[in-house]
Amino acid sequence: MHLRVHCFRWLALMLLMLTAAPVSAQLFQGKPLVTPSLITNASDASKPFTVGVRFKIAPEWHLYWKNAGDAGLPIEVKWQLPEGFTASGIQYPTPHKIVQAGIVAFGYENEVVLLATITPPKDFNASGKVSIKADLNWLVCQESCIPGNGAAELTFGNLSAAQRLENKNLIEKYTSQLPQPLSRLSLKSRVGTKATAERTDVEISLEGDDAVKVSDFFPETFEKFLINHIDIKTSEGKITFPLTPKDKTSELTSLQGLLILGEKGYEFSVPVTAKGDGAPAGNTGGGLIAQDFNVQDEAERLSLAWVLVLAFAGGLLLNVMPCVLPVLSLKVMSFVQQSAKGKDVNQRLSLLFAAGVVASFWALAAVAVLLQSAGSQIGWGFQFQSPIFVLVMTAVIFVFGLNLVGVFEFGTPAVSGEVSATLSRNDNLGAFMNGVLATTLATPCTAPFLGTALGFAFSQPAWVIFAVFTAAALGLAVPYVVLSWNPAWLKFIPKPGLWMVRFKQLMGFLLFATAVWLLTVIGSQLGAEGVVWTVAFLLALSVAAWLIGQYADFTAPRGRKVAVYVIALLIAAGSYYWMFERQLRWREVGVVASTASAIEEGGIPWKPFTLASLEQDVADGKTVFIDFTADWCFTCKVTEKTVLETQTVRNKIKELGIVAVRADWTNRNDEITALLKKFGRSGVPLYVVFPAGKPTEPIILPEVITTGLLIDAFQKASPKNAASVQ
Amino acid sequence: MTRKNFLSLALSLAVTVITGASLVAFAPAPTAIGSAAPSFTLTDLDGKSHSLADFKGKTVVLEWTNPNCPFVVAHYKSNNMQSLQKKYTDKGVVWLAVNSTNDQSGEFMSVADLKKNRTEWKSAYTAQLIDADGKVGRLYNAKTTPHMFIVDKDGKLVYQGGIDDAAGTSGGKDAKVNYVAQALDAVLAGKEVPTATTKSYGCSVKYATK
Repeated sequence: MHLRVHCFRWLALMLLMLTAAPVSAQLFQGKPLVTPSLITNASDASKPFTVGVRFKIAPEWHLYWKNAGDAGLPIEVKWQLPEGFTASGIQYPTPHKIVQAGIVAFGYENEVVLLATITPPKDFNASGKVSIKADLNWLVCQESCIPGNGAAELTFGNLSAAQRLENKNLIEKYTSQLPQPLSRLSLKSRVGTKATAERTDVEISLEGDDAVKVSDFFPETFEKFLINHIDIKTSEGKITFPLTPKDKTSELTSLQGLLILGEKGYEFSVPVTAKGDGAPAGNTGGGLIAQDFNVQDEAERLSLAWVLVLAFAGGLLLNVMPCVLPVLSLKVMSFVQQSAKGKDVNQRLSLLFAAGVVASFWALAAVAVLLQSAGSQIGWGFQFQSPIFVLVMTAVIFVFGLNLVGVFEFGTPAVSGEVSATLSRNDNLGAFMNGVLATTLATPCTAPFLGTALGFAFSQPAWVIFAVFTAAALGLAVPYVVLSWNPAWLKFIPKPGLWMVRFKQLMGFLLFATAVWLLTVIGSQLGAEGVVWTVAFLLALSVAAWLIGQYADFTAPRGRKVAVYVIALLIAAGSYYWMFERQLRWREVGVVASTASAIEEGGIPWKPFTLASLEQDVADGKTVFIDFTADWCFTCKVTEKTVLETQTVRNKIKELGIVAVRADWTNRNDEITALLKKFGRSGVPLYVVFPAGKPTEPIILPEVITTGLLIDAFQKASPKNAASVQ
Repeated sequence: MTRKNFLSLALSLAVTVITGASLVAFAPAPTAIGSAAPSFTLTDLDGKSHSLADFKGKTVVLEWTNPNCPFVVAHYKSNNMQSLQKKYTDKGVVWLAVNSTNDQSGEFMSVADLKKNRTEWKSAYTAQLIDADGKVGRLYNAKTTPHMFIVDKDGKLVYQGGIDDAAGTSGGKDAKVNYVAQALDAVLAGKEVPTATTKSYGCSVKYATK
């Protein structure tokens, strides 16, 4: 009986090894065991794009990580690319540990997507079909093991929209499972080794908030040592394991692997200086982000009082930052309307406005504290990284603009008019909501000091965050309060009259301008398609608003009013559903590549930001200038146009051979967030220069920079000067 | 007990504990190259008992095997394993295939099946030993099939690791160095083994779960 079963298994196995056909599944007893395919989220091959090697794996079977563990074999990928195309190294999602009778495997169950970036040649001509091929070899094991091989192919232009969407989601899912940089953790590490001829004992000591959360260590393959993976012990921030040297020359010079916290892996790569006499050799780990900086400009430690002053000043400055202007205009209108009323009314309303500002800052602080405790890294202006938030803002601003230019009247207490009506009212709720709106619009532009203050705040306990947010809120609100309490200063504002109606209409156009600016943000988040659907949605909203304005005025009978509002609401909700949920499917698609890294002809040759390439450039001793920016940051855009992209700066960058890196924070990017935090900031803009050969002494420039300031910093950081600057 | 006596007693106790502890700490791992290979006694397919001690004065190869493992299959289908077995047993080497597959495993084969498999593959080992409880496998820390060990005529372990440098299922075709042949040639010539430790590759040994 046994024999027959095994002979059959045998035969099946041999057949498998011979007949593994390209692109089709590896079969086992008639069922698919491993089905490989190539996927991409790119629509064409003209720019570097991500390719995923996807393996669907039958339940309970597993494929292997790059270190297979005690037994097994890693997945092998051999690319067959068109002429001139190059492939990056394979990126492996964090594997699982699979233990069978004391033998450890690192691998993947059910499904895995390995990721790589394929770069087309510089002179790539998009005509003709591009196809990417990979020859694959793998070993799939349950209790038994079966080797498999096959070729998978991907041809651009052959994919349906649904497939593209599925691929996009898959790539996003597995990108999020890639090991994260160690700097994401609050952790310091020391590696100690104790070596004798027969064994080397390794001890990784971890310190910091996350140290006790580390549950395991998955090492990469050791070149010169053997390891029993089951011997890796982790407890209370200490990881220990013995290694057996392969021969007398075996020396542990570095330690690579993944620190495991729950399901997540963090890249651990530390040089080790081994000492044979038993004295532990210490070393702190991590890349650029993990190392200590000796920042050349700003003082690192700020007392809380000073931070509160800075936060207050920052809030004050928010009033005059470019992207708060629409709100200022709103407030100016309120001044105008209120100067006609009594002093005590003004005082009460101004305090309510301040309360609105403070309340919304507290709401932000509460969210910040929540996210901070959840371990998520956020930054000032983070709301603008969410397309949903931006769309809601655009719609609200647009409808409010329609209201101001007179398409429909507020004052009618009704659902769709409620937001704009509330915002324009001069009663208590209106003043309070004005404060809220001012806050919401102010956040994307971080005023110079506020950045420092908040950067400081994020590393602080909750009460400090609240204190800092309160100070900033008061700064934002104080001019309004002061003006209201000293109405004498309001006399500079003309008396109400017909001009007010026109002024109101003019404000409406300002709001439309704000909506246009928000559309550019949507464009960078959802692409051209997103902008088109947003504009179409705004059109539907304007029809709804017009219906209300025409058919549901004060004199209309109640029944008709209700009917009109219902129709208007249906138009708005229906068009949203059809356009965004059915057509654009925006919440599924996620984030489309940003435009901020587009290269302008003759301009600075910006390099898009990746932590790896930055670390490489810095390590190579190059002078590196980083522009931390985002499409929604108006201040950043202004500085780029007026300071960075000027002939003087362009020439200097060329002359000194400076590597210009654009860190685009338009969409959430954890590496950039981590680096910003490293510099004590939680928002953009930020300008940093790494002097040649001095990676630990970056120069931080103020948020408002001038050409002269920038050139000075470049000179100081250039290779010949950097050496003499201490 | 006087205070002085007490002190010296404490001191000698401490010395004993420290010495003992360091002896334990620095005791070589069972698979350490150059140390005595752990002794064992196992029964072969024909019911004959073999002890490592029986082969003192001879070079012994231990080959962890499992005929249901594709890595093992590959080395036998390519005739790589049998030709090595033949070549070196002809030179007086004792070649023991050890099967540590537990009897609950789907890959477990009865003695009758193993015998048929031996005939089918024309295996040329001295004997295949049954280690279904995995005790000897654990003793040697054998992890994969195949996993190769070489014991010299003095009973010392001189090689442990993979059969060759081609981790995969090519059955030796892709190999540049066959570590086992290299080590056996050195041992038989009375020379030091050039590469004494490598990482073995293959399926996991199907040990019984405790």
